[in-house]
Amino acid sequence: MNTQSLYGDAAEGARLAGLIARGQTTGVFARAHAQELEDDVTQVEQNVADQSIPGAERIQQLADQLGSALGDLATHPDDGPAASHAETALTELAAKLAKLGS
Amino acid sequence: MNKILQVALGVIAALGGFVDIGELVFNSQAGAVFGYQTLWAVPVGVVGMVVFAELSGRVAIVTHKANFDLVKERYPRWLSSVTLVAGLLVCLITLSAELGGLGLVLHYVLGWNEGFFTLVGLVLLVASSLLLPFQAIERVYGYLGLGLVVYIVAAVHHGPAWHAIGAGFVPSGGSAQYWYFVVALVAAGMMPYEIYFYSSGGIEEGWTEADLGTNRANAIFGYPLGGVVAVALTVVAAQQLLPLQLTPQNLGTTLMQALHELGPFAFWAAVVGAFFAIGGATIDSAFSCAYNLAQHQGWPWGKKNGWRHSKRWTATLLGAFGVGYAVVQTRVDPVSLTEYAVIASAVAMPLSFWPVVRVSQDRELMGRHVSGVVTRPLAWVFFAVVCTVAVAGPVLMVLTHMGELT
Repeated sequence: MNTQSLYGDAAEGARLAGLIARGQTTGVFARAHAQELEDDVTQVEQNVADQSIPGAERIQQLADQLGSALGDLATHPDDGPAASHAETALTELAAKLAKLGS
Repeated sequence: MNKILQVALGVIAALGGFVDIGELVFNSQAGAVFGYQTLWAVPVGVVGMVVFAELSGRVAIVTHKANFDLVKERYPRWLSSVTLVAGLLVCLITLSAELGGLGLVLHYVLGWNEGFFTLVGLVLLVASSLLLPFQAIERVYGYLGLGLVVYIVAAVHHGPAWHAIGAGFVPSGGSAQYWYFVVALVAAGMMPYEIYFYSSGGIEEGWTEADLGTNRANAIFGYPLGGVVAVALTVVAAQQLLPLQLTPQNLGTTLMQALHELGPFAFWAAVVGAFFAIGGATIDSAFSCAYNLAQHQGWPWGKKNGWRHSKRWTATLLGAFGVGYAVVQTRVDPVSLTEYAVIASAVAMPLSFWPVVRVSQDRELMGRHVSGVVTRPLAWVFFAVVCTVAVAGPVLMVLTHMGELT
């Protein structure tokens, strides 16, 4: 459930980053939505820490990277080139989380 | 010609007013998780809504009694009190969920924090409720809610898999989670506040027997057209999110689907549509709280009397907005609250609808407008559906931990 939520945040973040990179969204929406996804990640990180589940360390590591990438999107929601890099990073994170969850 | 225009305007308002945060959340999640398999639940909810709206409107026109006038009249005191408490709770939970959603929509497009924009939304809705004439409230929020039609355009633009969509309208079996979504989609289609508002609204607008055709046309054409928007929300989520195995957890994901498919103009249409659809539903649920309590207690009620002559009704209306705002300030997630609102609605429906069903079939009260060979069995069939949903909703909610999405 935790990796599934993180996967969802990564995949959604990658979609958002793609829209920012193509200049198709407003900065305000991008910031608000990226912040919302980052908050979800923080919540999941807290759950993982509380539950002491197997593979928690790996999940925490990926969640940290995910939170950081989403945080960057929220801080620079108008930066197209940075969003393009973030899209790649978030897509890779989504793939890793999908593999971890399967 | 004037009559045709009136019917057309009413149909458009019903179309725009059908979708609220319940559809925006559940229909998108259902499409993302189950693809087209839950589509059949939408027409079940829509037809139920058509049946109960037509019936409660007809009863209100003929008997000049709204939903809770009948609850008070037909039930023993203890049962009418239980029904009132259930009705008020459901309307307040719905109001809180809608108000929280309104704050989120404003936050997505204007920045700052949701708490501030929930307050802005609240002020706007209270001002609309107090200052606009009844029909203007219904129509303005209904018409501008039509922005959500952009999801129909998005579904068609993507290139719909018509065969798979058609197959989705045939019921299929599935896991407990699947049935939880089916029950939620049916319940979201016929939220009780919509019926309370509709029956009291008929009296507010001074409908007479000459308006029975308008009542029927609004119900028969308006809600099914609104149902098409609800179907489109599921289809768009199935097209975009299912291949990614991405389940939407917030309204931002639903709004982003319009942006992703059609670009910024569609995004703004979706934002305007969502704002007014959710805003209209917030007003409807606040009014429903006031209508229910005032009718049950025998107080003067409605905008038709002016707020000076309906002071307790007006105070309840403002109190309902205040309670909704207080709930949102606890930082409860509006999306989770919506799920509770929809399931709680399912439980309150049978108690609220029973007196209306009974009165609509009472020849002494209804005269020649008594339910006939079509409406009578339909009313019973959908009353059975409502009872099934009322039992299954909470059970499935517990079994699946709210669909295992939170």
